Amino acid sequence: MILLALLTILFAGAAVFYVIVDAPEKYARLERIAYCWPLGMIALGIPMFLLSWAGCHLSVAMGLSIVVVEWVLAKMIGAHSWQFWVVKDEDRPPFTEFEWFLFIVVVGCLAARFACSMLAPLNDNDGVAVWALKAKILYYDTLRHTSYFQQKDLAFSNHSYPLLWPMMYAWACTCMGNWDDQTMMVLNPLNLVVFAVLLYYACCRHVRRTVAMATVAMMVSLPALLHYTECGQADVPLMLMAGASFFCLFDWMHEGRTDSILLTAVLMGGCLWLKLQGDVVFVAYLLTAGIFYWKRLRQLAWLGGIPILLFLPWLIFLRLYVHNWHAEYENISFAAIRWRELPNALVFIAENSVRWYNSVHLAKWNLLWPVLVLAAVTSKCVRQNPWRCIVVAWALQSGAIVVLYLIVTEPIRLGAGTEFQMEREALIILAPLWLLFAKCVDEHRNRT
Amino acid sequence: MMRIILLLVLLQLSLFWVGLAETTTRARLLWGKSVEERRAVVNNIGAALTRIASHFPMDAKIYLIHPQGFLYMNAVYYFYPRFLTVTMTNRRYNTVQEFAEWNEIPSVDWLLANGFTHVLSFQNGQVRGWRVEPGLELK
Repeated sequence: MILLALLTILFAGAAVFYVIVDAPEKYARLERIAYCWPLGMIALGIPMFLLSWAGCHLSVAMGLSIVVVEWVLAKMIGAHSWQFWVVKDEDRPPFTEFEWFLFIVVVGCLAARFACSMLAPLNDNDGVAVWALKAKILYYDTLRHTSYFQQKDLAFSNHSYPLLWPMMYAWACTCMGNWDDQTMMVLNPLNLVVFAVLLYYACCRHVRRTVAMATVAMMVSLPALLHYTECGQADVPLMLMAGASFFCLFDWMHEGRTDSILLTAVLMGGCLWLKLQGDVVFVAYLLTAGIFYWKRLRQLAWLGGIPILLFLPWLIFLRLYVHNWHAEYENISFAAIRWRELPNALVFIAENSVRWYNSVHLAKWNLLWPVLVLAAVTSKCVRQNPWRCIVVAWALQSGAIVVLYLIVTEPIRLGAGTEFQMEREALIILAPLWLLFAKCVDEHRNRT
Repeated sequence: MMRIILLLVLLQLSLFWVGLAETTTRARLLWGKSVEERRAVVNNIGAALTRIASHFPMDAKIYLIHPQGFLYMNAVYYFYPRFLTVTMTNRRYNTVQEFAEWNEIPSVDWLLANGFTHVLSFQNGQVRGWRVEPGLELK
């Protein structure tokens, strides 16, 4: 029955993809299916949130009805035939031996991660106390009737975190008919598989296939991803959503297609629904697009407006029902930013960037960061649009994180908590950087 | 310079076995065990709390005394949908400081009036539980 949960997510996303995309031949077949996954989380999660708020318990009938209604609407709005899904991919030459090797590495790593994620029950404090707890509440209760948001002793679970990811867990358990925090974890490695597919096809549009495959192989074998793919938190889903939205945004920057910007907008709405860090992603990507493509004002308005429209139900719910939501932010305000600490913060970052590569971090990240920085600094593409947009988006996201750390009351230091936080931020920031990495490597390959 | 960068990229690519080895080692460690055995390996607190929670009926309303932050946060999840709380005053308990200041031992009359069925304590690593009945004494 877990298969039912996965298929409904895919079909819900397929309805959205069907409505938005004008030219399906721009996407490979596997890529179209991959985009349906993050779109499906949004297309299923938001209506379920609204129905739970109205007092309806999650049920299989509810989920299937949502999918049916969405498809009826999609057929009314969309002007495509069923051929939409079976448009043939471009003919490509067969894999070379090295590409076969890389393909086997990718499949092997994904299979190993899948096995690991399915075998390991929930084992992370935040995964248990924040995300799985919310999912259990959504499974057993409704948003209308639960007292969860009024219980201040449960503030450790962050009442103000959006509910899209817990809703997916709850949906998986609803389809299974019982609370099963082992089988529901299948959602985590699936996010990684989908991200690998989207990254591969995004890279293939701009670099040779070997480099695209090599980039994906490096991504799926990154030890730092292991913990977060199995721990049950919302960082890997946010990495997927941020990556998917940036790949669509990048297509829009290249070609200016309306369907690309609409896909980006819907996916950025998903980022807002996943974690508070999704707000940083949204602002960074919107600002980046605004700085370099300000002449496409109408499309930028969609990019800014659609995510906020999608997020509005949660903002209204937060204001009405989460009485202590502001406690999360009581120290966060523009006036609380300790600007005088900025030089110390920059020195701290510089010092620790070098010292950071101790044996622990080398084991987690290998040589990725130094190679990425070196490749980017020595390549010409970063000085051209739209590639420099990736650098700007990275700078804006990183800058926002530095500012957020300047407004907490604690002194700036590197403890275990900060390290894990930095790891999580790095995974999300990396999502578009993989594309830049592939381009830089391809450029260097061309120059030798 | 370009050749050096490409060599470094190839070196990074060749390190795929680090991630693969780590993942397969972890999978081998957990293979062939039951869910509870695997939970005991990766999250022994969760395994213990699951076992303790199974002794209470699903509609139990439990008051936890002498709470420790980490245990309480995990217990709320593992006990749910059983109601578990540590406060009579709907006070916020989130930081180490706030848990250190905890001082809300309820009276039996209050527990009975508010429909609590059990009291639980994990103090000093010992699990102790009491059914809420008239005459119950709590310290």
